[in-house]
Amino acid sequence: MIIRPAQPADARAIAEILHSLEEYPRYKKETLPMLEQTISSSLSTTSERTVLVAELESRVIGFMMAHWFVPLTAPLEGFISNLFVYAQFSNLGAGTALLEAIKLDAKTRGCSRVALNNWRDKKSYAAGFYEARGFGEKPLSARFVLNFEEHL
Amino acid sequence: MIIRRALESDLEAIAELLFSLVEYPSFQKMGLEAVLAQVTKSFSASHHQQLIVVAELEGRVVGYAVMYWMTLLFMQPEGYISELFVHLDASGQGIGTALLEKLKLEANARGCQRLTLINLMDRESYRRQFYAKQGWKEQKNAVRFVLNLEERV
Repeated sequence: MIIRPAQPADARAIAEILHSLEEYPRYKKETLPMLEQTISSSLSTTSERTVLVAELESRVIGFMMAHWFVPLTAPLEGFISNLFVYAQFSNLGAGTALLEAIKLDAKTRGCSRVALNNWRDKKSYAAGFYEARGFGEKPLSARFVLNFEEHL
Repeated sequence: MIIRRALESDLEAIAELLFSLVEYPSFQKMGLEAVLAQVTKSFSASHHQQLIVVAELEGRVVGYAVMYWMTLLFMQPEGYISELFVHLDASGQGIGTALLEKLKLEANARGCQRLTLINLMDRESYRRQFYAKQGWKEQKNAVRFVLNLEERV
């Protein structure tokens, strides 16, 4: 398995993964060309984000996106917004390999910690996926969202 | 009250504000000098997808907030508020609300469709439901995970 930065040419393969995700019906609702076109512009790695794919025998089977920012009170922090692996290629360690790559990238950038949101109804949460890979659950953290459509 | 972008000359006041927070004893443990050093280092390292705003009351900085915005896959960009602090002796005057209003406008101007933040359940702000009262929705289904890469306060 190879972990490498995503390229615009990976958009189709990533769109196919998103489209196949049973737990995320909002992607299923979209057409593949629509998904491909929309995501192709956000696949480059910059100083503010890292976008990686996992490739097995020349086929993209996993995807990850992380963002970097600097709180005033602490060194650089990372936030993982996406980590997806093709269901038919799960259990091959692609998710673990992507997380290991982001850990390395984070350390290179001088990052002090990496956070992410999981959801209680997801399989990855039930399986304790992140806990098994060194992440600690923060039971006191409450996530709040303000949607502008309702509030501006 | 004035809400404006933070300047390098505000950092001392921000460090003193952090140092005074009773709910965050880690800053007192660090010491004022070390807090100022961290704040100064972070300020110069912050990138163009971040914004730091301060609230000034009668010429004194009494609060600040930090937001960064990210381009998400197949979604509108999203703003994340990593910090929002108000000096205890200036609380109850709408300073937190004014800082949030400013960040809302700034995030909207950058194409964001929503803002998110993490509030800790053992904080006074959570107990009095500061964010819920302003229309924020708590996502009870969300679980936050953190991977620590180094010892930190």
